[in-house]
Amino acid sequence: MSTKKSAGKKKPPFSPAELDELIGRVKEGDVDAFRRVYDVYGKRIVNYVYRLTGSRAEAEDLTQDTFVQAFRKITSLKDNRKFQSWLFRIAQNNVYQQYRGTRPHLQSIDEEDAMELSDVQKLATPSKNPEQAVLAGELKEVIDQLVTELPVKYREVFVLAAIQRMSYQEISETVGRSLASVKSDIHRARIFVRDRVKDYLGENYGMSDLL
Amino acid sequence: MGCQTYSENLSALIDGELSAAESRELQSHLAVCTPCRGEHESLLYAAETVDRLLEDRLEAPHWKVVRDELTTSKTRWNDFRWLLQPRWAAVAAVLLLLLFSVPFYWSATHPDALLAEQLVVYVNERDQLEEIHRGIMDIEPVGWVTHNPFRVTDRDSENPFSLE
Repeated sequence: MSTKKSAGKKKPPFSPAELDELIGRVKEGDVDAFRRVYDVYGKRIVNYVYRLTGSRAEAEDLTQDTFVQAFRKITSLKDNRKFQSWLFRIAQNNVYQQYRGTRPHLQSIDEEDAMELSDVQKLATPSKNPEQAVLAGELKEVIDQLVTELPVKYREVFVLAAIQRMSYQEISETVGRSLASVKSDIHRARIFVRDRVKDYLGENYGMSDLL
Repeated sequence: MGCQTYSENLSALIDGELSAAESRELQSHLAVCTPCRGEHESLLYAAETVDRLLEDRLEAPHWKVVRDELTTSKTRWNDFRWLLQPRWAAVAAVLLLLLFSVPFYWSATHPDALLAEQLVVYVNERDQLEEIHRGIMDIEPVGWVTHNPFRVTDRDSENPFSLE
């Protein structure tokens, strides 16, 4: 009963030595080496940005900007092994620069199935049988929407921990906050998500056959 | 350590972020504390639900798009996007205000300066015309004309604005 039975931390795509060597080549202007980096981190960055902005188009644009900036500023990265935190931090700064402190507009990936935020509240007291809802994939949509409802401060660390599965230390380096603050915010985010999922599933919460 | 403190470590336990000693201590507590154990199971269930249902659904933009951006030498507007930040916009507004207000300030604090400048221009132009006029009049008389009554001989002494 100790830790998550499922995925756990994401296996690093490169060993520290491999990453060091690869980033070293990128610093020398090797575009092919940078492509290897992009192949590994491109999808993670676009999904991270999407979780912060809620906009697919913005996520794609900001992902391009992030990698272009990363390539141009790579020489400013002192420790090659901290590339991942550095890259996610560029992406996060781009998001905040784009929105300049305003809360990003949020929308579903599948726009035709997009729900208004208030719909989550309606789903929290479900009129449908939750098992049917789970079968219909609605729980997935609800959780997707829950993430967008998290306050930005909690959302960024929650996405990095729960979806990107970064370590708390990496998250601390990425968001520029103390380890204690990150730990506390992740816990609050998990409680927020737990409470909403619990409200939605009602008495079915905790039943293993729902997952 | 109380239940509150143990409870705050539950997410870190789920994420595998506690040290071996911390993890052992918390699990010992969970073994004897029903409310904390319930809280842990509840958070764990939510974490597993999120784990299974949330995934990276978007694909990264095609590499070619990024490569084209990398290889272009053109300066992109995005490089100057920082200028749109409120603090830089404010600085730019102040600079523009200063730039346009200096002439007004100068003319307001030097009321005679503009008049003096116009006077100098006027006198210079008049002197130039006189020089031209004098040149024409200094042409040697032709034929029976021996005296030119229009010849200007000593206008400089009559010119109160003449610049020496």
